[in-house]
Amino acid sequence: MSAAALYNQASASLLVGACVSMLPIPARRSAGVLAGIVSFFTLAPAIAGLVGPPSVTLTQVALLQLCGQQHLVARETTAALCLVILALIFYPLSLGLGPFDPFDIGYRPKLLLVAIVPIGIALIIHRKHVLLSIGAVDLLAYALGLFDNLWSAFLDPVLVFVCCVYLAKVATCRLIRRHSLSAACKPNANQPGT
Amino acid sequence: MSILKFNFPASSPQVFVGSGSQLSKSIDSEKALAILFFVALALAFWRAPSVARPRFAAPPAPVVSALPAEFASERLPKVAPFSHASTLAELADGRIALAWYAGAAEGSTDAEIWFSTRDASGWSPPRVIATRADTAAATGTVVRKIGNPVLHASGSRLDLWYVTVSIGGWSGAAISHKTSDDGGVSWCPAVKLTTSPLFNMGTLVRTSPVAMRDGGLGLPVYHEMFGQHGEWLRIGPRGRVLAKVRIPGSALQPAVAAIDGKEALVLARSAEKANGVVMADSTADGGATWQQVVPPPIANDNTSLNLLRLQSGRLLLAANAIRGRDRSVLQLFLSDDKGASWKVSRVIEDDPNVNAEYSYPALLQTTDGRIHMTYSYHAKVIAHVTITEAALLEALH
Repeated sequence: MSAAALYNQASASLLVGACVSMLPIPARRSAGVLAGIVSFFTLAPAIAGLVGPPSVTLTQVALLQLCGQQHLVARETTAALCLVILALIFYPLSLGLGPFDPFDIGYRPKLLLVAIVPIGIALIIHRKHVLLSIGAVDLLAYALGLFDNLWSAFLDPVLVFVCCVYLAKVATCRLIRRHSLSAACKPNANQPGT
Repeated sequence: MSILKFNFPASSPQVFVGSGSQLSKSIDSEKALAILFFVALALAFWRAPSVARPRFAAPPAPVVSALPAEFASERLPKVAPFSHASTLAELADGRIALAWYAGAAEGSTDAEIWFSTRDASGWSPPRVIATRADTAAATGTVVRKIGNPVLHASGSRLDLWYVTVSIGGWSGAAISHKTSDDGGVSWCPAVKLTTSPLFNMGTLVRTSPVAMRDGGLGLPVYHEMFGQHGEWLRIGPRGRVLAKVRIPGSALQPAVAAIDGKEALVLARSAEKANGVVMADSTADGGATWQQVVPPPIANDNTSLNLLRLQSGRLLLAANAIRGRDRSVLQLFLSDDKGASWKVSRVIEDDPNVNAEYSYPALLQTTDGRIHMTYSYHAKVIAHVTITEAALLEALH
């Protein structure tokens, strides 16, 4: 089995483990680790076949979830929003809408890597250390030859789905908070003097 | 995991007030992280391929074949109820290599890639060179079915690409790749090519690649998810995908013939089930870009075809091209003006039963000048035809 195939299988196992660790069960992290190990030998090939090669970004998010460190990425709303917007443009173009195929650039990604430099500098300036380290590991995985296409190291449809769910959750929480705040501020008609 | 080893400073600077050593420690880790990021970036830059302007390996100057008119046909032994989609290559020692897929039915889970070679004594007993199980084990993914193989020989190396499906129908396919350095006796484990950003699904292969000047290959493939179109994969000398270029038009199973270092013609299967014509594209820059050209007036009702540049410089097309006869007539066409016009040559199969199937032709001209064609014979066995150019010219209508 090649290193890339081993990565796919290990990453798919991590996804299973991360999902189990989110369930409302006792000792969920331990259960997640156990599920990850078991799925490496059972479910992982099916998942890897279904979702394709998971991106290194998704693998790291799953690992953080499994290690109970999900709070490190839990407030990156802007990054999640940027990724979803990017995906909304990237996937239709890559799948045949129009003549330009952005996925092709990822096979010879020198231009893409130059474009990443200012993003890296911005992350350093804004002290987004977790995003910076996730990006660094993505780049290392590409440099090690786990991916032929740089895009595949950075993003995949499952990651985009996770970001959508996260953004929907954030938006819902904000709506509820705003609603309850306005309800609390609303003057009570039954109260005398108001 | 590196991110867990770092002592991340919190986003708000007031955390560090009152603790000088803690502040300097976190500045150190910040610096280390920044260095790590730029080292990773530099390594990625180093690994990213520098790709020269694409050029086809220029075909040799046209040579008129001195072989007399010859025609012979035979059938390979039946290995399974369903045999389909054959592919040909000439090995370094002059033997012909043939691969196809066979199983209980099209898309059945027991389908395997079969392989045979032909020398002066005939075809070797067919044997299996790729299965669902070995592909699944090598790629770390479940493989539900396998299909269309494509062979290419270059020196002592033999490449095999084939379609693998993990979920769904053919539109959920990906391409797996194997190589052999001993003429197909033993094969290295399969590797899956990454050709699509969406779950790496929707790309299939059917026709032979074209050699590029840099030692790599141009592999025509086609995409079948959210629309159908041809694609051109540029593959480096070590098997790595270097570029993917869209071939415009709704074309399936594009077959490519290089005319010279820069020019090539694509003829492709139409996706129309009725009243379709052969789709045509061309490139004038080594496959960097492709343009649709006026299609030749050859009928194609959603059936696979194949194209070959002969040693004489003529182009040879094999196709089911009689309107309303589906796949029951298999013909050869010749063009001596780079595909601008085509003349019907030999009719290889002509069955009055419109449901008869003689389809999915593969073409090869060996160094001795003989032309070989294989095709699915009633989708039950693979048939092999040997013909010379003189016989093709003799039969011109």
